[in-house]
Amino acid sequence: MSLNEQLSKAVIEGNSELSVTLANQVLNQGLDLNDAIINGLNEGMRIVSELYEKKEYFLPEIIISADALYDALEVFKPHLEKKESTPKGIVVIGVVRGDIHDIGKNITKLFLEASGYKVIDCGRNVLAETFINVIKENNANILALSTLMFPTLESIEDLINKLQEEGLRDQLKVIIGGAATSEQFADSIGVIHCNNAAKAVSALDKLSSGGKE
Amino acid sequence: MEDFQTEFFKGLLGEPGSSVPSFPIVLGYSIWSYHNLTGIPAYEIMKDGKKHAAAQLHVANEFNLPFVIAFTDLNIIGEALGATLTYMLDVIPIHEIPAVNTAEDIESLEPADPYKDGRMPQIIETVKVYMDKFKNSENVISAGCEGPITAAGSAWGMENLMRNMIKNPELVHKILEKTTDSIIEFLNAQMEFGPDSVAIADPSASCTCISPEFFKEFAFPYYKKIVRKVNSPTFLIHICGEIFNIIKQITRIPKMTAISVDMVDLKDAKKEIGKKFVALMGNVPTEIMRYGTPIQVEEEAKKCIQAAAEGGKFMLSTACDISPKTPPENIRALINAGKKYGTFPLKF
Repeated sequence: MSLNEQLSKAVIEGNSELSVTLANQVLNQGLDLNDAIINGLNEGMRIVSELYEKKEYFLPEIIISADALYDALEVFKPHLEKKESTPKGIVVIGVVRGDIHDIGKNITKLFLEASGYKVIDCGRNVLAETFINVIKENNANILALSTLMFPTLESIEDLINKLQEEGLRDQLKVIIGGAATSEQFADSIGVIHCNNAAKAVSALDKLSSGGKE
Repeated sequence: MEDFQTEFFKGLLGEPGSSVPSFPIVLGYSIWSYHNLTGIPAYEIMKDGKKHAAAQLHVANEFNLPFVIAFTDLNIIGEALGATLTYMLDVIPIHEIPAVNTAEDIESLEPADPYKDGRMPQIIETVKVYMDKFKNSENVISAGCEGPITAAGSAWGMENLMRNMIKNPELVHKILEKTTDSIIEFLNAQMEFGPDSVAIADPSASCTCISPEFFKEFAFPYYKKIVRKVNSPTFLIHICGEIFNIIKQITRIPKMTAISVDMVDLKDAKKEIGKKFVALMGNVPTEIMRYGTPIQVEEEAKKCIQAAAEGGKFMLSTACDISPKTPPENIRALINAGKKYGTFPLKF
């Protein structure tokens, strides 16, 4: 098994000790770090997202896989060259005002990063104004919103209206997810609904490859 | 509620001439609604037992609901154990900072004191107000609070809790013992006033979050302990999210006589329950309640009744707590659908 395959396996198994050991081996052997991230760590996380989709993995399994991925990334970080490859898209992500449940948002961020998107994370309980500023600063073309709680659907509606007012709506693909969201609600405000983090990736991939919103 | 000859129970048993009990879940909604009516900030309503009771009584009155529940949010135990919440002007508070972090914190955590900690005394006061108000009426009064997994997530942070289900299950069991003991003391303090039942909401135990195997390891034993130690004849559990694969386990918990369900096919769920006397409650989607028309609500309600009301053991309700700003005419549409389509014997 190649080092990349072993890294993938460590992420899938959520084995932080192993992923850190392997990351150090990659460093010591002078291998390409970006290759190890994309074809090792991220490939592992991509498989995790499939296992989650198939209901073989649940939140605890994803969280320890994320731990293994981030722990290995920490090893690479000081040695990474600032060689920015072109991302598939620039995503601003956050949990809307009134809600703090951010596990789903964190997993979506992870899956999106693993599949080549640049993700800017606004955190949780985020005000509409914050989203708007971050979108402007980063010239983002995708906005990903999450909420688990029904009262905060109002915050999503409010934010969409503010995006219109700011003239930002047309440059953005907007996806929403989280237990409180639904196809029907998404349709009513003209955005795309993703019922889980893995769907967010496939929906955005489809859009950027020319599919229609 | 004094006996089993009420309309509510006849409907639950499917007796000819009676109808499927029909009522939405109005916990957080009642706080928003009462704030709107009176201008009293939600943070004040949440922290005052009398106002907290008045909020739900106001909504129960407005829609003539047969059921009132003691709690309106799911961070009562977490807060009593030391978690920090952010209180809002118009809706229920949100969780901000967990109470514990390290293994040592968890070791030294004491179960909460229901007469002293957080808003527990206010919830006990809420039950007392309900009992004074409804002593001789047909209304079902339910004590309640969040379940052990949700409470542990609030006390420790959900990611910590879930991570350690794999990394350090022993520590997870330790915090679950503390949340469970806190819940038991709290519910028994509420039961002293004599409500009819206990309602427990434990969304973090759903298969949307954890596997059925983890449910068996981390939720099931603590539910069993709660029903054994809490002095209530009957328990209702609400778990939102996906729950089909844990329904069988839930029916094996003694005295757990009602399951309020969210994302599940009611027909399959009823089959899964089989002959046991466990009632299903659900599951008109809350987004249809909020954004749909009365006709759409009625259609959904009719589907639920068709799927699960035959033979009784069914309550028509919403899949979860309804959202603030849910139109009153949609609430009425749900309630009326119980009589319109759910009068026994059913005709379809």
